[in-house]
Amino acid sequence: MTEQLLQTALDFFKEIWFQLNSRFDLENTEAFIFLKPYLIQLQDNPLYMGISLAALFLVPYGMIKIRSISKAREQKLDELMEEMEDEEEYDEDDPRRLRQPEPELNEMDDDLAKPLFGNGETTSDIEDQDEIIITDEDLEAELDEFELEPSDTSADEEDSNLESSAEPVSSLLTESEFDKDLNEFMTEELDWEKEETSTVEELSQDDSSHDQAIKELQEEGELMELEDTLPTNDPFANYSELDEDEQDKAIKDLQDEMERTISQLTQQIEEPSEVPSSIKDLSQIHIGGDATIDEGYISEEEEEYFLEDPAEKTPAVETPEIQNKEPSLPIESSDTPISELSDEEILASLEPELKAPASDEIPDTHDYEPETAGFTFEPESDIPQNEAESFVFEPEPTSLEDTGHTSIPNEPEASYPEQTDSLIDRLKFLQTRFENRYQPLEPMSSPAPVEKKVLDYESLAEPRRYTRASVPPDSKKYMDLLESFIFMKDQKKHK
Amino acid sequence: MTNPINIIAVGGGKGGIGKSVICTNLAAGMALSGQKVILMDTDFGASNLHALLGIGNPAHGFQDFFNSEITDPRSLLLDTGISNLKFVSGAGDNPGSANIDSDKIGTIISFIKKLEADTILLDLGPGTNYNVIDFFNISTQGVVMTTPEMTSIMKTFSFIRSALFRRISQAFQDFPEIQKIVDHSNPNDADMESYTTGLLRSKFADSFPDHTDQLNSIISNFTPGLVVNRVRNRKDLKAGDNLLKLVKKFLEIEVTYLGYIIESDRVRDSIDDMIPFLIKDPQSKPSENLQQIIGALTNTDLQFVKRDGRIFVSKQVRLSSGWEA
Repeated sequence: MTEQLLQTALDFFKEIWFQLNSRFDLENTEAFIFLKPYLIQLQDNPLYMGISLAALFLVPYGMIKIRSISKAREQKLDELMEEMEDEEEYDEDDPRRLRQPEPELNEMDDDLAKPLFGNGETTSDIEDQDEIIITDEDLEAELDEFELEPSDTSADEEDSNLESSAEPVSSLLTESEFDKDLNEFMTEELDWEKEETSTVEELSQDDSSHDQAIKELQEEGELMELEDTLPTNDPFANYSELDEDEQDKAIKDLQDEMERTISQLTQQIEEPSEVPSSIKDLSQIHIGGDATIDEGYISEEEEEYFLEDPAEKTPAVETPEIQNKEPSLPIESSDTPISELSDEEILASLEPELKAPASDEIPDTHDYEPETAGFTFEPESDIPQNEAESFVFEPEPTSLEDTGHTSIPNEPEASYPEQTDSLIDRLKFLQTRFENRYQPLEPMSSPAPVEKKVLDYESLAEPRRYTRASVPPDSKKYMDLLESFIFMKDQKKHK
Repeated sequence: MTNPINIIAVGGGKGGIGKSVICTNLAAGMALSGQKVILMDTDFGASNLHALLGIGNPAHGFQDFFNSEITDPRSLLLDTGISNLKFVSGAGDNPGSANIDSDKIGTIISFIKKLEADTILLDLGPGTNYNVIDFFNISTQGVVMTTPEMTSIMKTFSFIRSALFRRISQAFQDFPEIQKIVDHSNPNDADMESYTTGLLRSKFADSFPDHTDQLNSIISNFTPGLVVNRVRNRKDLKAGDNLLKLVKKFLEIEVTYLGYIIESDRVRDSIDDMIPFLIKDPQSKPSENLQQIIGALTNTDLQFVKRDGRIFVSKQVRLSSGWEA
């Protein structure tokens, strides 16, 4: 069957070729005459035939693949940009978020819930599954892996949840986790170690991909910056064509620049106490909180999320007092099913406290009280109800206060690791330029591989002479060959 | 006065080049164009024409030629189902049947010459055996076939040369000295140095100058036609040209180029269907090629058209076929 199909296909092509050839006399065209020996060689050698066929299919496939990869990357970039914008919008400290109308968020919640879960039970099941207790060792390992710099847990926890809500798949999970944490605030004794751990885990889980992608973007940005710093009339672009004096000058400039970079780098290294490494920061979290951790994280966060709109960001973080009041949310909603509340509702409940104490806005928070009917969560709490009600959330004051106070003045210090990396990259770059000064950096002399290919072809073409290539029937050689087959050696008397 | 029978022998040195298929289709085409045609399978020992025509268990076959009980040769003619086309089968061959002696060949040839028809088409076996060549040489129009492969061209050249030398040998069968030159069937007694027409002419000029004219006449009257089968491209047609050049160079004869048949699955399918491809699909490319060959053989322009399962033939006689002023 297959042979028949192949034969049919072969006949079909033969027929096409024969028709075209007979109509247009293709065999006598210059192009065909030029290609003919190569085609014959291809026909004779199955290896070349295979290579050519493979090339025929692989080259377009490769092109398509490359295009698809680049498209995917572009799409990913767009998504990241959108997420970053969304994160800006959903930042709890952003005043715009507080002004956002309520129905929109509810709609978004509905939309997010629809594709994944049909009812609340499934969600709660997943909630249960996602309850993972992480030890300190695990936390360290995970943090090392992702190089996160956690800061104020209670403040950033909501950030992380809100950030992840931009992703349809993870939004429900994170939101449920968010609810769960709030419930824990109500029902359980506050275990800050555990809270911190779980928050960091969430951060690492939810934001790891974001952070990694953002890091990549930052690296790319740095590289671009490096490239941008190149002078437009780069002497190394055509170094070999310069005069000796110009070459010396270019090398001298480069060496000077390298020395400058090295000195800067040395300066950076000589101040280790001011350069917090990410690992150091993480270790400090478990000790009990250090100002530098939070600073690093907050400053980085600000750089990441509030670059475009710093003016709106500033009022949100301006006072630590406001942040200190944030955890007081459970007090009001202790008798309310917080797991059912949306982010916006929760944030709306914070609104009067975040803003100036305006008593006319307070009743908004009491609108959520009647929703207890649908509440299914039963907190495993040993805390009596009245105790829970009277409970005032007081996080570790040091971290929060430090965060508030030190974030802005210490912001330049947070960029030291980046500066160091940047300097190292620059040094490497300059070194590469120096080493490759006789070769232009970007165009790496493309003819070389092509030439090699031709040479390979020639070398491979050599043994083909042993296969006795078919002689064209319109040549004298063919006739001689034919005669040699018809007549014997001693029958050469024929004219 | 009846017209002389036109005997067309289709031969070629190599086996499997499509002699039987083309011969069957030529016979069918000529019969459909109105001629009374008898197709004869002379490939004794390996006959297959009856299979190409779809005639199972033929009533008569090869052995019947030598059966004294059959007095009327017409009883050997089998009906083919195609108008005007009769068939004499070579079926019934047994092992060794191909090695019949020359007397029996003579019997068959006399049988052929007694047949009443406009055209008799002989399908020859492969090779250059005298049993084959003798049938070719009784033809009024010999058709040699080749395929573009070099091996086929070599064999066809050998076939033409054998036919020519056999023809000369038969013309001078009363001259043993000439037989030594032209008949190489017995190498111990033959002059093996005359293997081209040029060498033969010089031998004749030296030894038999009186017979030179007769020799030249035989050579000049030997004008077989050539059909190139299974052509795929122009290069394949060049192979046919090369054969013509070769024959011209070494045998000094004019071979008439009758045409070519392209390589096509339709031909193969027609064999499987046991229907000549000219009838199965008269407007296909191989059928068009065949119509041109029939036109060249009969000096007519034929065109076959199939509509609603019926074949219509338009036939135009060329003026060069005896009507020129």
